[in-house]
Amino acid sequence: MPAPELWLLADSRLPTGGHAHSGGIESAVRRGLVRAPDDVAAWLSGRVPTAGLVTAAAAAAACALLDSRGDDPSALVAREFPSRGDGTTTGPDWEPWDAAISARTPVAALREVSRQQGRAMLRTVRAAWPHAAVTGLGTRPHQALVLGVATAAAGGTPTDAAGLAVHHLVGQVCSAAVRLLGLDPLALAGVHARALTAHGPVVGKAADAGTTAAGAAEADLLPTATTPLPEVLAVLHARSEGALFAS
Amino acid sequence: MTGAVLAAARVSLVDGRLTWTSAPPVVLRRTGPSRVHVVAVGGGPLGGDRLRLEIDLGPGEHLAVHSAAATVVQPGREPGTEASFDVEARLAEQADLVWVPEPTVVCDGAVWAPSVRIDAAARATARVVEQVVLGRAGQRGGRCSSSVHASVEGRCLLAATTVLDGTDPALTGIGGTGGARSAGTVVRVGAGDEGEDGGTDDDVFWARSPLEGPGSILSAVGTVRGVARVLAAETVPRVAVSAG
Repeated sequence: MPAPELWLLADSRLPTGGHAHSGGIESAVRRGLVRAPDDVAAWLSGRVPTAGLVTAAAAAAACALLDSRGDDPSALVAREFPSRGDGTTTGPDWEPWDAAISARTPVAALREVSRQQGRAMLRTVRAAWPHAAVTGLGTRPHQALVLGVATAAAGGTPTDAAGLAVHHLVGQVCSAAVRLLGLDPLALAGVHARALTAHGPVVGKAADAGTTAAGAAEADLLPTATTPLPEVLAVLHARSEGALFAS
Repeated sequence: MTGAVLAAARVSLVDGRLTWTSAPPVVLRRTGPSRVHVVAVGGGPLGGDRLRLEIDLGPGEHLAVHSAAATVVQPGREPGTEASFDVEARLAEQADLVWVPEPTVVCDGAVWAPSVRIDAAARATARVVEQVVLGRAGQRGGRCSSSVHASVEGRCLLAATTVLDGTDPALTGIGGTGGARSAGTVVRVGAGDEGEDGGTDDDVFWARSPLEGPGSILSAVGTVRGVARVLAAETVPRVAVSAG
């Protein structure tokens, strides 16, 4: 049984601004490239194992950097993070991880989206888990790092962090598709469930990659996979007017 | 992997002196004062081949590296065995590299995993132009995972692996290439004034985005001709591509 607080992190009602994003699918919908539930599934099949894997691995790494029990300061001290004298710890140096995520997000508009959502989630995390190891993340961290830190604070593991990242991507795409195309929510619930099953291995792969990178303290080890059309569409979306979703 | 080729060629331009070492099938020819062509000798690459090109530029040096013909990647004796071509460039301060190979065709059954790594010192610049074509005429094309890694003064600027597979419904679908036969990129390192832009035509979708740091990436996906047209236009700065 996962820690109950993890359900809160999985809840789309948690105020993190995720509802304003479509996981990139709006740009494809507006060009007539996505019309039916099968197209939504196809979008996810291209995106979850590539860009989704990268984000999920970064979240897993952030969680692993704090140990799976990030709320225990002694665990951090044991991992040789400097203590600040007042009993709290400074946590890992996030800068290389922040840079690694930026380098893996070539589209400037998507980096901005990641930082906006990271900032929004950071506010929520500070309120919900005051002990979370957010020190040093800065004011506009990438969302994947905040998700990993929040998962650790909620008692979760790197696998949980990766699972939450995939869950949010799939949920964003499916709920946006319902709103954009007026599709049957029941049909999309089916797409959503089948996508989570089909792409379940991505979660384990991301958790392994993130944990390995964190263990080696080497952000360069994070996965780098991407696919071309969604990246191009993301830029075109950012340059378009009248979009319903920010990304 | 009997018969697989392992070859590492080198070229360096330091203190105005161009030196190179060919390693067949990666054969280098000097074709200008600051230009070198990679001349493929023999067929291939084939599955199992591990090819490599190292480039070293000293302070302030400029070198353009081209290839003489399209690279056609064939599956070889054991289909599904990966072939690779790793280009590694070290650029000293204010050095400038242009790497513009002809397009690479990944035939049915081939697995191609090329990489380009640029390590740039302060004020060094690079432009990397690459185009992949999935299959020859009538083919769906094999698998390709093309990596680019660029750093400036030790800070990672870009790390991306574009995955394509002509036989994978997920990667030829709307979340991959959208059924397009070709994809290409223009990566600029060190020159940060390329702004966001993009457009669509009947035969190509393309977009350019600044990176977080000095550099930009242009991606194009479409027909062989459409992608080639966008890449050619991007290679000549400040010439607008017709956007529909």
